[in-house]
Amino acid sequence: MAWQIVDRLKGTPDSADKVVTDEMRQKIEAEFAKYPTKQAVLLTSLHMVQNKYKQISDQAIRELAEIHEISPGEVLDTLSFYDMYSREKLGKNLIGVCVSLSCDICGCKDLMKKVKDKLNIGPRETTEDGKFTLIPMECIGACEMAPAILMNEDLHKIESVEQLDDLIDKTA
Amino acid sequence: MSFEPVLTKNVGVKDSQKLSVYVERGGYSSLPKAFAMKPDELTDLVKASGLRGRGGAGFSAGMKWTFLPKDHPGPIYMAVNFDESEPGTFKDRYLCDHDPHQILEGIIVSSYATRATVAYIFIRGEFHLQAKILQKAVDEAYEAGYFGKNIQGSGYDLECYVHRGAGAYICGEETGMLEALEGKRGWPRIKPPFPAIEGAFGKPTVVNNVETLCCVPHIIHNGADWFTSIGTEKSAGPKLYGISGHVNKPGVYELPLGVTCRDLIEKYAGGMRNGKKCKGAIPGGVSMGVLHADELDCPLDFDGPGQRGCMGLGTAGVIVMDEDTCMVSALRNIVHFFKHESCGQCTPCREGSGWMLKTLDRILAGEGKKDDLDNMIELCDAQGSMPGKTICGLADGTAWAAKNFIQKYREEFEAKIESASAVAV
Repeated sequence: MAWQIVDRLKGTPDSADKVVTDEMRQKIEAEFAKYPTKQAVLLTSLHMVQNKYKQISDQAIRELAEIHEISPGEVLDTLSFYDMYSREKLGKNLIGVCVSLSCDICGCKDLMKKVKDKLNIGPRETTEDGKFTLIPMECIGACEMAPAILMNEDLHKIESVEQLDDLIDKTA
Repeated sequence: MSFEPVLTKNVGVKDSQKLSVYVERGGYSSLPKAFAMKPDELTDLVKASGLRGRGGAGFSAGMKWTFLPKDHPGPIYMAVNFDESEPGTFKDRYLCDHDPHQILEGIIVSSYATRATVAYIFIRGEFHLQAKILQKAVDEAYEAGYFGKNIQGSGYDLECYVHRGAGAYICGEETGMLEALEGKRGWPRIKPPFPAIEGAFGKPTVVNNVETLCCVPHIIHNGADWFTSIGTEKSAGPKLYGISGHVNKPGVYELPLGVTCRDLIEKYAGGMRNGKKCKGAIPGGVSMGVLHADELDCPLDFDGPGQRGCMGLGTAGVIVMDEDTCMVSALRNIVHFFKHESCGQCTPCREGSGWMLKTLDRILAGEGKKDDLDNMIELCDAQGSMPGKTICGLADGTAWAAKNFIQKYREEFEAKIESASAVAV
């Protein structure tokens, strides 16, 4: 993959429309002291970019490569491995429905269906207004709360589809 | 038998996340005791306690520490495994939610014992709140002089950093975690070299689970004999059991190792939901296989589940399924998990989990074939195609779970296939 990347990415490191702001860059550079290599901070940097823009764009890949002193291919290699990063733009809010065993046997399919009925989105689809993306998640480590969801960064135990309905309304 | 909670004694105490509350309740007091000992003496103490890893493998923690090279010029790293991702497991999250400083105290004394000078806490990316709790605790601990240079006047230096993962089960595998720590894909490494010799950034690295580390300060305080007096002969100490699924009171229960699965369900988790019967229970994370309803008197120690065909105790994350649960669907869910989480490096795992998922989907769609079950068993057997032929244990976990489900609920699987054939004719 690495050898394919350079020519195919859009954006250039000296583009006027920088994705990594000066503030972000300072935060990233402050992290470097914690590790023997700059690459070790890459997951942290990718989290910053993903949170702010809801995606990792080609431009971001180029800029992060330069900051971390690695090739764009290496940035892509890392980011493409992890579920939390997306090259496609995700919605403003992420509805993470846990679909692993405890949540499955406690009714997570009803929650997926509720989201589909209410927002007309399936797994990894985003509403037309860009407000929500439905993310089926593998075990989120909250099995005692099954069926559990992660609405953006907050864990919720969902006891009824009405509760999910309310939560989506409140989040929007 | 009366049992006083050890690891969860601060749960429910007001502001238990705060350093001041933790210290008031005896927290960080194992440090002077530890620093008065030589690192090797501390390692011997932990070895004598019989403390076995709580992350799933159950390997002797003290023994693991002795694998580090002697007189290494450093640095030696401590990598704390807080990637908790095995379905059914939420005990480390619970420890962090209620008592983050206990984790840090465990890290300090264990790092001292192993001469580590930097500790990285690798926390899974989905634990947003826990990462904040932990970071706050680390900041507080730095301010109070529990991290940094010359900790509490001991002459020992230790830095501690929180490192967030980004959504990959395989980063709970220790070498996958080290790759993620280095900013790479979480691809497990071929061993040897083991992390103790060549771990993070090419340096000797100790990898321990959160709960394991939390036990260490208590061992320093109360001694190895106290620890071995709890639990069973080969499985010493208190253990956090996570229980979820079709029970009335799902949650984390701290008990001496060796409680039976039946007692855990009936006495602690409030029994089965809606008065249903239990059909089976996953003993410790889905990769461990399943205990049939007839096997619920199994002691949940490091040996019990293994004697009943399961892989082992695993993380002691118990998932209880009632009589209405379709075991074919349950297995399908598990296999789907492993297919999704296979890192893709090794063909038997990447393709094997995919084949199995397709087969199970076919069976569930009413198009199962008679030899599907035997083919899957062959794929899962020790002499078959998946286990023991891959870099890490993910394929073994997939295969073990599948073989266990098919063997213990074979009639149900066959009935599903036969009803399908009947329809087809």
